[in-house]
Amino acid sequence: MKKDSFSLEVITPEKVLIRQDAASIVLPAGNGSLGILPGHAPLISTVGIGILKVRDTGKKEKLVFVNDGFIMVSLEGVTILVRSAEAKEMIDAKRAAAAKERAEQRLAHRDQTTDVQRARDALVRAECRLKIAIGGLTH
Amino acid sequence: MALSPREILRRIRGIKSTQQITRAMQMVAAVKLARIRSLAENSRPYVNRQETLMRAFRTSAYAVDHPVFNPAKGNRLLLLVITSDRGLCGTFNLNIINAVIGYLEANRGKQISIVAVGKKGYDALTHRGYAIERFLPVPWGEALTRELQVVNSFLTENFNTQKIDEVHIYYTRFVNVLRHVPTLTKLLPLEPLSKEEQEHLIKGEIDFIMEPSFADIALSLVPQYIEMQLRHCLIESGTSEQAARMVAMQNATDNSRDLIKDLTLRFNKARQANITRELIDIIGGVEALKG
Repeated sequence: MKKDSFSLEVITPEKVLIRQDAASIVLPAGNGSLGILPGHAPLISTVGIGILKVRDTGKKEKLVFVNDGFIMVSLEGVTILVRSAEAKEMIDAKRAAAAKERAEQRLAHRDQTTDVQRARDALVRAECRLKIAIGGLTH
Repeated sequence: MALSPREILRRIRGIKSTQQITRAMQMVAAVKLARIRSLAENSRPYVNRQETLMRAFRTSAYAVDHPVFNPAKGNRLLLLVITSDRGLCGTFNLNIINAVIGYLEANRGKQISIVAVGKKGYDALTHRGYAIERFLPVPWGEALTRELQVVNSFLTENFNTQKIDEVHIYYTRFVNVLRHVPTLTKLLPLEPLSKEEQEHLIKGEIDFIMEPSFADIALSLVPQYIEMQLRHCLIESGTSEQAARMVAMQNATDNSRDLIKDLTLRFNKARQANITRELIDIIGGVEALKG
C-alpha cells in the first residue's frame, strides 16, 4: 500500500520545532542532499548545516534552518535531531547579515589564530539563514 | 532568661533581618527551580529520541568493533562529581559528598581521578585529602553549552587516548522537591546492546542504513550523546540544589517566625514586669509619704 505522507519531527534540545505530517522533505545529510518520500527504507544519517525543505500534504512548502545533528528514518516516521533549528519567522535577517559579514571578514583577514573551519561554518549558517529569511531560494 | 527588654528587642531585630534574607532566598530558589524544571521538561523529547537513536545505533553489527563500544579492560576510572557552588541548601552537598567518599573508600583498589564540578564538592574533597584532577564551577545559562563541550572533549580525549578506561558521574538525581538521591551513572564506555535489550527491540528498529558510514555517524553522535547525558546530570543536580535550598530557606523562615513569636512574648513579659516594679516603687513611695 502506498502512503502519501509520513510523520515528521524536528527536535532540538530546547524544543519540538515541528511535529506534523509531511509528503516529502529535502535536507543536507552526510552524503549530500537527501530527499525522503513516504516508504523510505530505515536509515540513520548525519545532518549538516543547511536548509530543510518540508512539503506538507497540501503541497505547501516551508523552509527550516537546521544546524548539525541526525536524521533517523524508521517505520514509525522521520525524526530529525539537531543542535538548533529555526523556522522562517524565528530568523533575524539583520543579525544573520551581520554574522555573514563578520565571518567573511575573518576569512578574508585570516592568520594563524583564525579557526578557519569555525569561520566557514559561521558563514554557511549565516547564508542559509539569510536565504530562508529573504525567501529567495529557488530550485 | 535574664535578658533585659532592650537586649530582647535587639535580638528580635536581628532575627527579623535574617528572616528577610531567608525569605528572599526562598523566593529566588523557587523561581530558579521553576526555570530549571522547564529546561529539563523542554529537552525531554530530544533526550528520548536520542535514546531511541542510540539504541538503534547500538544494535548495529558494526558496534562490536568500534572503540567506544568496547568495554573497559583496565581499572583506571575518571569520576565526575557534581555538587553546587553555593551553600545554604540543606544537606544537598553533604549527601552527595558522603556518597562519593563512601564510593572512593570502597574502591581503593582502582585508580580513580576526580573531576569536580561545583565548588562545594571541590572544597570538601580537597579538605579530606583527595587529589582533584580538574575543577570547574557549575556552568549555567550561556556558559552551559560551552562548558559542556569543554568537559566533553576533556573526557573523550582522555578516554580515546586510553589514559582512562571508564568514565562515571556522581550526581544528585531529582525525584521530587523533598527527595534527591545521590546517583552513580556510567558514561563511558558505551556498550553494545545486551541480549535482553535486543529482544525488546520493536520491529523496524533494526537494519538501518548508515550514511555516510557507521564510523562517521559515531564520530558526531557519540560526543553529542555524551553531551546530552552530561547536560541531563547537571540539570538534575541543579534542580535538586534549588529544591533543597528552597526547602531549607522555608524551614529557616518558619523557624525565625517561631523565634520572633517567643521573643516577643518574653519582651512583653519583661516590659510588664518592669512597669509593675516601677508601680510598686511609686505606690510604695506614696504610702511612705502618707505615713
